[in-house]
Amino acid sequence: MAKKRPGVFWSTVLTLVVLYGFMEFVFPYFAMWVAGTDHLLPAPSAFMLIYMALALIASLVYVYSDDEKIREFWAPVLALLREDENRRTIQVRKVLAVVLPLLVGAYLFFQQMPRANPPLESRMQHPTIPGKYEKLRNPYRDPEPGLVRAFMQERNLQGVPEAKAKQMLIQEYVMEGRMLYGKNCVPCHGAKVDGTGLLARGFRLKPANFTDPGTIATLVESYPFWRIQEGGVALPSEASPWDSAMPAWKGQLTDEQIWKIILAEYDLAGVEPRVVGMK
Amino acid sequence: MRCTRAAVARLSLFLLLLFFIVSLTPFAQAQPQPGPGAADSDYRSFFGLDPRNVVWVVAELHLMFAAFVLGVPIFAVIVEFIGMRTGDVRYDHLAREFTKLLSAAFTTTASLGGLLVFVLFGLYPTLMRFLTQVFHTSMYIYGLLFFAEAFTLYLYFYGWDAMKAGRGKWTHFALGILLNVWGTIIMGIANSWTTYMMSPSGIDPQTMQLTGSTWDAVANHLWMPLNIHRFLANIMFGGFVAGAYAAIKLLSSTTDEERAHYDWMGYIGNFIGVAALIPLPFAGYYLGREVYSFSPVMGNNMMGGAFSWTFIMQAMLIGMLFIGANFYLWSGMRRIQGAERYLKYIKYLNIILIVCFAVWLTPHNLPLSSEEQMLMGGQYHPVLKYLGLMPAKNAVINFIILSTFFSFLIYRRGNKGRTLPFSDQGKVAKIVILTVLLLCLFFLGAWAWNLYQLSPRELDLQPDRAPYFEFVSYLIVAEMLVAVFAVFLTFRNRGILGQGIYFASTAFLVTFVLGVYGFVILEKANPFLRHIAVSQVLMVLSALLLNAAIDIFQFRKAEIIGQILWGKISMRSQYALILLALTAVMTMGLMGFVRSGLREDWHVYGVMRDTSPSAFTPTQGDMSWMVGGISIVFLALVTFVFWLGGLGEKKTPPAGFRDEFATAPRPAIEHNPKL
Repeated sequence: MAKKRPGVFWSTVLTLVVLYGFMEFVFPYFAMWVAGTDHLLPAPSAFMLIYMALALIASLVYVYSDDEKIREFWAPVLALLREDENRRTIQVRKVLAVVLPLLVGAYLFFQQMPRANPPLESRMQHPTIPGKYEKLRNPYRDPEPGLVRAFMQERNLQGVPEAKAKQMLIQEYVMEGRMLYGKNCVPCHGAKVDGTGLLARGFRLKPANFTDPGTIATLVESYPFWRIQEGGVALPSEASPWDSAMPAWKGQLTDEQIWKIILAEYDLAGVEPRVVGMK
Repeated sequence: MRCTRAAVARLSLFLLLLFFIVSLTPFAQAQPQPGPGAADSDYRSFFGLDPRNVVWVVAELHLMFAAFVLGVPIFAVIVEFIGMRTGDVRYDHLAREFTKLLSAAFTTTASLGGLLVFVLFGLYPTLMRFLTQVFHTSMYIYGLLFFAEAFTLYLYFYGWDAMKAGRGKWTHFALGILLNVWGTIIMGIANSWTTYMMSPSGIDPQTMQLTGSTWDAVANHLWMPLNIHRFLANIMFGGFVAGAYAAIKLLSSTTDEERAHYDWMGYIGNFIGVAALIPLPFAGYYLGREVYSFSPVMGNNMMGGAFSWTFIMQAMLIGMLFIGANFYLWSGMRRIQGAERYLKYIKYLNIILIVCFAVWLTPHNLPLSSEEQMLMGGQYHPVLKYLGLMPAKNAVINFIILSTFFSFLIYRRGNKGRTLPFSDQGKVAKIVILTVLLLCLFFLGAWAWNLYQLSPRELDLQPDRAPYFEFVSYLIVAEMLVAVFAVFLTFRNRGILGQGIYFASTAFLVTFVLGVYGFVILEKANPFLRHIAVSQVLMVLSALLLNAAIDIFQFRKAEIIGQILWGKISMRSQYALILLALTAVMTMGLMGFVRSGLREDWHVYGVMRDTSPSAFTPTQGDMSWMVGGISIVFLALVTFVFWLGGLGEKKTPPAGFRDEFATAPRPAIEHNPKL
């Protein structure tokens, strides 16, 4: 006896159900394993919505590229609606006539039910930097020859090649920056610059994780300079949801100290700042 | 037919009316008053309407018509050339039909251009005084070239019959080339004004005095990237609009001959659209990269800031373009006898496309609820955040492109059976394939060598990062060896196997190896990431070129096992063609907003500030209304213009089509041995 295969309709339904089941029940374990966390990481609702919608579109694109598949796809639905001979089909139709409106009603009820949760937030990742910060350069990333020579004189490094002395000077700036970072930034951004400082758990919006390749690695250095100097309070109005707890450091730290902290942050995170292509 | 035309006219009027009703809302939002520091004469209003919105509508409409007018001649000339080479009269008819659309749209483009000039000078006199001071020389040239283009177009269109044979035909073809030369120069000049406002050069920002020549201002940082992007985009746009025209004509056809003709026209329009669409993401990446290079702040606003969500919209639209084009090809395979053998691949192509599209669409910062943020431990999902970064996007868009190309390959192989051994294909086949191979090896080799020699210092990186560069150069060399092997197999009469190996190797190296490696680079040597993207582009383009060359000769003179039943395509596929045109129009409107909006409150970035009350970035809601409205009015106008252009046409296809479609089942582009 030939093996009976599910038709196009039921294959489609099965695919969607399996996909939903994967995202709902398997993905949290998969994400936990990949991220190395000690708790499950469920699929966000926005992700579920996008991916299920795409799966539905893909199914319909596949079905509607062929007349035969369309007929096959709708056949069970039409049979359910039109069949007058088969008692079982008639019974299923009656059950569905009751269950479907109830399901739609329940869906609407839960959608409309007042909730205490705030709505989803679309976050602006990198709000617009004010123009006055745009052209700033970190003076300590590539120190001027005068600074290098003064350093050589101060440390009595006359026999050392200037290029090597420059590297030594940069390392010194990095060390100064690390100390400043340790004093001022570690409580929130953490010793590993990964946003897991002792105070981090107290914030709704977690401090930035600088080791994440999507944060400071994608920015020119003037951007973190602006964020450190002005903090969350100076975020532009369009930078929703405007919930950064970053303090404004301009009264606490000098520009030089901030530049050195930035140097140290990139160094500790093991990432490089974005380079301006046209110099 | 009369009934259909009347319906089209009524629809056009309705859409126009709808647009004006819809657009009144945003227009009415701002009553412009001069901003602080602005003189009364810096800005004017247009009957109380917001001048920025007025310019937005007129400029976008002009640009859309201009894109069509510049894109269509490029492929009309190519189609004419194919007709000349093959002697197939249908290509000549098709080229003429495309040109007929062109000549109808040309006047509207020019009228809108004139209106745009008046609106700009009237509403933004100070800005235009400044731009005129910089560009007046190129403005005269631009105006004169318009005469040249108009006269060449009229000669080309109206001289079709007079120059239809012998040397006259070559003269006609030369006129078509000349038409494209004028059009490209005109586009380049207009682009220089646009890009100058984004990346000004040859000027002292403090004194606003020119320090260089007009050429310095023209050849600004973003000029060439935009030229390349628009050149390709115009062809794509023209192809899809022509495809939609054919689709509407097919849907309203009453005879089999008409249906067959417009089915074929739709196929060619889609083919041209997709052919130009394939390299377009690369050109877009190049433009975006140069925006970053000129101003990292502008770049951050574009991809991570105020405009980042518009790129999610763009991702949706681009996904729709690729899925729509593939759907059309898959639907078309049902009317090719013999294509049943390849239908099994559609399922897998569909899965690849949609998975890639899903990654392409996933934002770095997914919208999360408070509860979700608590669970994730931050505003990013620890795993899904990687799908929002450039290495993931670059990997999947290349896979989408390769998959679309594969769809096309199985489409054109549909009714072909046994192939001739490659050794019987003659010298030309060998010469062409070897030439393409050498070309690919040259570009890949030069780039690999460049990477091998690249000093980390050039990218402000530590010297210990050099091995990251070398690894990529080794990969490219491996890809080159696979290309050579594919050609070797082709010459040994195993071309299909060679194509398969080359295709699989490219997909694996570009998507999976370089895609994943991009994340390593992002962390260890971020400035090198752009080199990874270029490597992916070169590998994919080489694979497309060489595989296409092998395929053409591999299946030349192949056994024909069935017919292409032109006109027997599903009606759904025609709606897909219309959707492609709609999507192309909306993408152009959306990305035009992004490109222009990146300047934020600058007329000329860093040089001349916009002090008008309109110097703000509109919300995405307002932008959607505007772009949607402009798209509707463009489509209404273009429908009206095409309807006007068709008023005098004969009711039946050109003589001979009945016989041709009965006996010639497929276009010569696929089987003519001269190609």
